[in-house]
Amino acid sequence: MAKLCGWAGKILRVDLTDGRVSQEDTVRYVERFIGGRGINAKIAWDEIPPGIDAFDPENRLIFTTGPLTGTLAPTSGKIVVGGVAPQVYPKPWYTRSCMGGRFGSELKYAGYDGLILQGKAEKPVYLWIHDKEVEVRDANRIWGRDTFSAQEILMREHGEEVKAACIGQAGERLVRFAVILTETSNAAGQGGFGAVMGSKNLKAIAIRGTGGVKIAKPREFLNLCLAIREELHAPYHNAIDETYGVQKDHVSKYGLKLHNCAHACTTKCFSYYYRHVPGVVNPGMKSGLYMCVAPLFPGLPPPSTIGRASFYNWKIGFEAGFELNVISNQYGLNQWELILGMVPWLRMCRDEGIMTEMDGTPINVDDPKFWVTLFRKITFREGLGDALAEGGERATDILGKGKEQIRRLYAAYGYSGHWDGHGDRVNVVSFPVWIVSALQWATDTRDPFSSGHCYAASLSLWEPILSWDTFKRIGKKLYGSEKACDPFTPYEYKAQPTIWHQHRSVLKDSLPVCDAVFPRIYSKKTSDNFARIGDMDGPSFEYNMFAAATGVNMGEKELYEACERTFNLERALQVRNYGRTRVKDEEIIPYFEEKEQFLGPFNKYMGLDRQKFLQLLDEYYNLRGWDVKTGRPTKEKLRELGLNDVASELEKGGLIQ
Amino acid sequence: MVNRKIWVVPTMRGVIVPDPNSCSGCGGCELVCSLFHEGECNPTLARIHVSREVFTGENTPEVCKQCPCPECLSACPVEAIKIDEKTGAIVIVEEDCTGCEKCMAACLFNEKKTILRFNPEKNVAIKCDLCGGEPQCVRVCPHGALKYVKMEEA
Repeated sequence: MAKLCGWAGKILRVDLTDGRVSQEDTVRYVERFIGGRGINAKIAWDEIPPGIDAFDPENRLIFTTGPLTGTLAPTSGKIVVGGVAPQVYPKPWYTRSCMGGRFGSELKYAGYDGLILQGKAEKPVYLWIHDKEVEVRDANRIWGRDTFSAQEILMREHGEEVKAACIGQAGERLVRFAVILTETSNAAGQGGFGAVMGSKNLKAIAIRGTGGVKIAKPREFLNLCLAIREELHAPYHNAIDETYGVQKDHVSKYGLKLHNCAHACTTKCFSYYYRHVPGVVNPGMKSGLYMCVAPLFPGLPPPSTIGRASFYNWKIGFEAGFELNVISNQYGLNQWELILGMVPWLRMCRDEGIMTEMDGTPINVDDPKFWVTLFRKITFREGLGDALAEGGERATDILGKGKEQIRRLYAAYGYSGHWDGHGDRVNVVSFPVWIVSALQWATDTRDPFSSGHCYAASLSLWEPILSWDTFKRIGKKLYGSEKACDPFTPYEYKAQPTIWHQHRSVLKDSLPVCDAVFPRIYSKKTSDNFARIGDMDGPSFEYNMFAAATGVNMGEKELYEACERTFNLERALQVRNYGRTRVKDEEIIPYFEEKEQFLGPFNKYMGLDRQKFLQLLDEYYNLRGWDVKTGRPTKEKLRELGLNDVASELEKGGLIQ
Repeated sequence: MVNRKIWVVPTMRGVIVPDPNSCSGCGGCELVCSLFHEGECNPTLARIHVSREVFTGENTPEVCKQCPCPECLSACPVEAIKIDEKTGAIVIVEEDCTGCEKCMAACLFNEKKTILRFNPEKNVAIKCDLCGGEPQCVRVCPHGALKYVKMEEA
């Protein structure tokens, strides 16, 4: 490559133990692993040997952007975090999490595609990256502070244009679901990477970059991005297409405004900024971004039409709910774990008489003060909070109670449900759509939502306005058979869409682009409801942006092959470091065997059929070129993907045939 | 829309009017601007700047007001700043600019050096030229926070 376009060209490495800073070229990774999640997986394979725990100084905390980060490509302002994740249960393993905001773009503008952190600082420090200058600085003034005030102090110190990612008090105390947060609500949430930062004594990373991202074909890229922006009406939330779900009185009352959660995102999504909401538990006006799972804090209005059990109908109200959103972000706690896992679990335990109080305070999810106390106890590991800070799954082990309730809420790996029609009772997914979710859950290393958003979520959210015939027609075009989207063939042809979306998930996390918006499949703007611009199909948008930005001579097929390579490398890492086999994959089955939460087209609550699912798993491994008995990649498959070194290493260790 | 009077003078024929209240802070305007003018995505080379207050949610796009009595133009010692015949925009002719930065100091609104910037690679000052009549930032803005107001319509 003559001139690198898209990528910045360097990856920064900081050893916190001795403060050593070095750089390496990105070029060695890009053609095979693209960026983001792909490069993360490669670095993890090379640098994280078996036996490394999340809080081991030798654990890597890897931040990588991709060729589109910092560019005009819609939704591209995203960064991917990887490393051994403490939230994973029963034992931490390598996985990933993404974060929006402007932090990733700023890293690119400073001249780096990624940042590898290793070692452990002797005392609290933060990293200050100002273009070529990189300093490990004393964090005395910000250690102990919440995420908002830590960022404010860093901006006062280094200028208002500084973008910082930091941990709250939760990360400092190694809460296993502590987040890394930037701005008011952008977080690498799942995985507990905030605690990894805390274990390294690293409070924050502050960046100011004054460079740019070179674009190979500027005019073509500009016009393409603008055309895609036009096409991105409300992403898949077709129902809020006209009003974007804005509550009119919130505009005047609380200063609501539309606010894009990621740099360069022009989507009219349901992400809002509230400029002044009065506090209920603590006085004073609160402000911040309000998106994703946070709108569940106030509680769903009764009578809840969603779910068999009204799980989220606590009576908190908007103002207190918004305050809980702000407080959890300030402490740096993972909101998904709190709302979809911890709190419903505590409520179940109370209702079933297993646990009625928390250190003398009655468990009362209708009282915002209870929530605030809960957050504080978890964050500072006070009393019962010390066990809860270990995450729902570990807490039940420590307390020796509530395991059965956890089973209903947590799908696998220590992660509560997500787009699966079972533990997640807010996102409406019914049989047979969640069979694909089950396959995705079975074969991933975390909750597979960047895959799930685009099969389970797309079908479920478009279902009210598009017919199953339309889904079948588009399913044939995308995955090769109408059966992929036919409710009357529940267990047939489901491995194909699963794999398709898993690869597209890698692509979204590698370029990167928003995992909710891409790939573009369904549309209200075309007569056949298939997204396209001119003669460019919606699912090809990512490739075309990639090609125009980087100018790399790589076909569309090759790009998807690179995604398959990443997926296989992640699996190989699972095999080498954690002995992953088919047995682990099958552990998901009982969770899905439970009756579903939402009525689907059959008007009957369904559960997973074990035998049929096992056959589906066979089909999945066969299609992947993995061994059906062990669920491990074959050496032929790894070699076919150019992972010869990986194949040899696994073979030498006797891990694959 | 910003509700205020706009002075109409013969030289001023169009201006970009920001509405901070509608700005979502996505930064698309900065990116498209630098891409259009410099061939790269680089907010520090953009002729428009969004000042973001992360913790209050206020986003304020800042762009040249195409002043009727442009101080930058008067300050230029080599007459590198001209008035575009088609759009009435006050533009810097890069070939003539010596990079003395006097225009940047003269501008009344350039305290933060975001209206008139300096491109160190080319050693020239840069500013909004209304993209020859089709401002790209206005084209990209998803929430109508930037309007291109032409005097004949005003």
